[in-house]
Amino acid sequence: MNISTQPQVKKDRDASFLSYTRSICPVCKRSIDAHIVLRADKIFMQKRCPAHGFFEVETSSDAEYYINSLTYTKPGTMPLQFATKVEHGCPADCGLCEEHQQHTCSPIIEINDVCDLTCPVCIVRNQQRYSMTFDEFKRAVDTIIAAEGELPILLLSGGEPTLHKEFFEFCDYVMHGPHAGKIKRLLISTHGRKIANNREFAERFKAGGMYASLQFDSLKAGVYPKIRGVELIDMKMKCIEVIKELDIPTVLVPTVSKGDNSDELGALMEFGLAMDQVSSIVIQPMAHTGDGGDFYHKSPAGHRLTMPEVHQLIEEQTGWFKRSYFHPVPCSHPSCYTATYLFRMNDSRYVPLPEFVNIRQYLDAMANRTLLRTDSALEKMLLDSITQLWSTSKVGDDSQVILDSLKHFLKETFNSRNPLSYDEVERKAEARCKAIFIHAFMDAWDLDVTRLKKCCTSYVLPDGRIMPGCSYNNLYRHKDRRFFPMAEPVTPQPVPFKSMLKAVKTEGEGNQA
Amino acid sequence: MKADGLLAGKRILVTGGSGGLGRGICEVMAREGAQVAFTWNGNASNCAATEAAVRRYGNDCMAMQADLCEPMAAGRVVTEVEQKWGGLDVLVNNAAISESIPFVLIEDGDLEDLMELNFFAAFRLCKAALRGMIRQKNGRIVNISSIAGARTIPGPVHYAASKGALEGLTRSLAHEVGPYGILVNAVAAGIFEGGLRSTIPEHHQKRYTDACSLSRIGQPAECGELVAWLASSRNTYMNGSVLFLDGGTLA
Repeated sequence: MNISTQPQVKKDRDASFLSYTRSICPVCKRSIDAHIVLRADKIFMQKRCPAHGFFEVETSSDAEYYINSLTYTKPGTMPLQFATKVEHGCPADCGLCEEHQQHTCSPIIEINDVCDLTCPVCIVRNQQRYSMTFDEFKRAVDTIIAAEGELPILLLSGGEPTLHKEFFEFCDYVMHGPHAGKIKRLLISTHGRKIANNREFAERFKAGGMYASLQFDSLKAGVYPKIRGVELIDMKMKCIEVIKELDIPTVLVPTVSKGDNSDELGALMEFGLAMDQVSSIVIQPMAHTGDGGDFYHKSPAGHRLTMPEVHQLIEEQTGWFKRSYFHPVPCSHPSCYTATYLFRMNDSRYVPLPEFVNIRQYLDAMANRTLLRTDSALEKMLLDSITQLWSTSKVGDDSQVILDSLKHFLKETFNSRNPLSYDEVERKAEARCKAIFIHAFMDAWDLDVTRLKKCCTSYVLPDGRIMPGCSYNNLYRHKDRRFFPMAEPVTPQPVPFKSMLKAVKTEGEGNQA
Repeated sequence: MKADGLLAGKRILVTGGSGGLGRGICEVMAREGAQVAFTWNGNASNCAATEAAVRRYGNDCMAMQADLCEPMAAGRVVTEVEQKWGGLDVLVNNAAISESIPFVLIEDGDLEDLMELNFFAAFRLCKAALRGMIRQKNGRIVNISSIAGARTIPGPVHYAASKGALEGLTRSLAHEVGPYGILVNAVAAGIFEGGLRSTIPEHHQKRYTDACSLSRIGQPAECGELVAWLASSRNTYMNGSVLFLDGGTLA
C-alpha cells in the first residue's frame, strides 16, 4: 500500500500581532475583542463578532509613524470629580468613570438637534425636536466646571446651535454668568448661515466675544452637494467676508472625505493661514457615524483617511509643509489628535514651531491641553529657542528672520506704549501663531477603547455625565432620551467569554469589510 | 481744596500722569491739598480723566502734553509750572515704558529708546527742578522705580537696568542735595493695576500674586499714599531710600 502523506506545515499568520484592545461590532454594536496588527507597513484593527463575523479596518497607513506615535504620551490629568463608577468596564461605564485616563479639555454641549441642513457626512442624529432648556444648559455648564474648574474652550454644538431660540442667552451665561472667566473661549460649531445672512445676528455674535467654529469643507463649487447635501460655496464665502469685516475670531473646521475633498487639504490650510481671524484649523477626517455618516459610503471600512495619509496629502498639496511638522498631541491618544503650530514671520512665510523649538519642551507645552497657553513652560520653550537660535544664527539666514519676527511680535504685544488686555494679547498671538489640528473621530469600524480611555473631547450631558465623544456617538447617542424619547436606556452587556469561544471562526470568514 | 491736608499748598509735578499709576498718585496728591501738574503724551482721554480726578478736589491743575524723550522738554515743563505757580515743591518721576523682550534680542536702539524716558528724562527733570528747590532750600523728589531694579525677577533686562540706574541716581543725589533741604527717595513698585502691568505676561502676574502676602496686585492709590508722605513736610529724615511697595512679595 502506497500511502502518501503530506507533512503538515505550520503557517505564519499574515500579520504581526501588536496589541489587544476592545472594540464594538459595526453591525450590532456589542462590545468585542480586537487585535491591532501590522501588515505591509500598515496598521489594521481585526475583530470578530460572534454573530456577525470577522472585520478588518486599516487604522494607519504608516506603521512606523503609528508605532513611534505611541511614545508621545504623558500621564493624564484627572478631573476634579468623576460621574460614574467602574462596573462593567470600558466602554459601558461612560460618564466619565474613575478609570478614564484623561480630563476633558474640549467639552461639547449640544444645545439642540434642530438643523436646516441634512449633511450626508453628519455624525449626529438630528431628530429636529430637541431644544435644551436654560435649566438644562446651566446644569451642563455647572457640571463641566465642577469637573474641570477652568476650561480653555467650550464648544456649543447641535444640531445647528445658532437656531436655538435662547442661543445668546446661553452664550451670556457662559461669558458673564457665575463661571465668568473660567472658560477662556466659547466656540460655536456652525455651518455659518446666520453669520452670512443675518447682519444683526453676526454683529451680536461678534459683540458677545464668541469664536465661530465654522464647518468649511471646500473652496470650490460642486463639493458641498456631495458632503453637505446642497451647494453652499456662495454662502460659505459670504460668511468668510462677514467674518473678515467684523473681525470674528474663527476656527476653520473642514470635514474631509476621501475622494470628495481630500484634494483640497493644502488649499484649505493655506486659505486659513492667510486670514488673521483664523486662530486654528481643525481637519476632521470623516467618521462613519450618525444619520449621515452611517450611510455615506457602501464600504465604510475602506473609505477612510488615516492620520498619516492626511499628513502626506498636506505635504504633497502645499509643497512646503512637511509631514514631520505634525506631532501627536500628548493629552489625547496619539491616533486621535495630531497638531502643529505655525508662526508667521515678518515676510509672511510660516515656520512651524517644531522647526525651531526644543521638541521635548514643545510636547511638554502641549501636554494635557488642546491649546498652547502663555505659561511658564511656553515661555521657557520660547526663551530657550530664541537663545539657541541667536547663538547660532548668522545675519541674513532664516534664523535671523525668525528672531526678527519673534522680536517684532513681542514688541507689539507686551509693550507699555500700546497696552493690550489679556484677550487682545491672545488674539494677536493667534493671528501670528496658528494651530493646525487633525482630529480623527472613531466610528463603529475602528472604535478602540484604548483611544476612548484617553479621550479629552467629551459631550456634557445635563444629567451630569461627561461622555467621551466617540463613545457617545457610537454607543449612547441613539439611546439618549433627549433625542429619542422612546429609546431604551443603554444596558451594558459584556460579551460572555464562553460564547465568544464558541463563536470563534477562521479568520476571513464573516463580513469582511 | 483740603487746607489741612498732608500736602496743602504744595506745588507738585508728576510725570506720566495719564497712566494708571500716575493717575493714582495725582489723585492722592490732590486729595491731600496739593496743586498738581502732570505731563502726558499720547492718550488724551486718559489725560482728561486724570485732570477731572484732580479737579474733583477743587485743586488747580495743569495738564501738559510733553514728549519727555525730547531733551528740552524737561526744562520746559518745569519752567511752565514755576512760572504759573511761582515755584515747584515736589517732583515725582513716574513716566516710564517697558517692553517684554529677552536680552539677546535687545539692540542698542531698544536700550536707548527705553533709557531715554526711564532714566535720562528723570535725570533732566531732577536737574531742572533742583535749580528752584536749591534756591528755596526745600524740596522733595520721588522717583518711581520697580522691584525689578533691585531684585532678580523675570523682567526685561533693559527695563531693570533703567530702574537700577534710577535708584543709583536717587541715592547719590540724595546725598548731594540733602544739605539744601531736599530729600530724594524712590519707591520700588511691585505690580499695580494699570501702569506697566500690560507688559507682564499673565503667568508672571499670577506668580506675583501667589507670592504676595496680600495675594493681590496693588491699586494705584496705594502707591499714591506712600508717595504723598515721602513728598510731604512730615518726611524730614528719610532720604536716599528705596522703599519696596509690593504687598510683601519680595520684602
